[in-house]
Amino acid sequence: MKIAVVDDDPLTRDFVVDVLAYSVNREVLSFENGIAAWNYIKNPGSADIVVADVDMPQMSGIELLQKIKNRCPQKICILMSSKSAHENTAQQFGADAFLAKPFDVNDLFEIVQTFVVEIDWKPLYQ
Amino acid sequence: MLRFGSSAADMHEFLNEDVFVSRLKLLIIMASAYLKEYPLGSFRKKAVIRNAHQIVREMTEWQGYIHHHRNNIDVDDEMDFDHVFFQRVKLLAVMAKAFAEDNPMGHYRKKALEENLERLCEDITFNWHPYGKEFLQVA
Repeated sequence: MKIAVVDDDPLTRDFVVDVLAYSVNREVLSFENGIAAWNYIKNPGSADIVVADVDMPQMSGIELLQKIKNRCPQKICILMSSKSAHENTAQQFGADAFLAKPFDVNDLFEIVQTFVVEIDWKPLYQ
Repeated sequence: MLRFGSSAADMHEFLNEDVFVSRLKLLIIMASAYLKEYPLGSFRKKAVIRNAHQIVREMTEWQGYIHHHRNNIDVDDEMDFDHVFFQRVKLLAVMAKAFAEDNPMGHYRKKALEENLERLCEDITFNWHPYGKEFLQVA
């Protein structure tokens, strides 16, 4: 299972990448804007899980979410934001989860447990 | 849709302080997992080294105070507390980098790491347990 993180703020992006890479012990891809992320995600065999910030220049996380869900609805999209108003919009456009900033290491662990372990790694435990 | 993170009332952009404290907690978890002999694959090792490096950089850039995160906030020794606390964080970063780079960690080094972790967890009132994070046991 491949994971991509999209955020124009390197402080947050690098932190999320480090927690996720440590959790799954796999490479986690990172993008600093929605356009670069979409150019990668639209290709077959790209990321299965996308963690994107809502507030980004050029292409917002909501626009990215819409494109992803239109083209590949099976991909898991998690939106991050520091604004509570974005939560309803995220839900409206089909986000699988909303990650309210600032979040903790344990929130990212819960995301791994929910979307990676329960879905992808279950056979390893059976 | 699932929801994670801050409550609606507490939402704000990540500040340097938020990232520093979160990265410190991550480093504590990484070191605790190492002491519990959880597997360390190549990506985990790289993540430990990056986190150790980043935490020292952010600590230097932030130059903030940690004493309001401390367990016993009433004690009037903020300056000493901050100094010792940050030295302990630097020590943890060095220790983490050492085990992630496969440097030898004998009994006494592991004991020192354990003691450093205990003190840091006590200082910031952080209590980590692996329950619900079984994925850390998978390489």
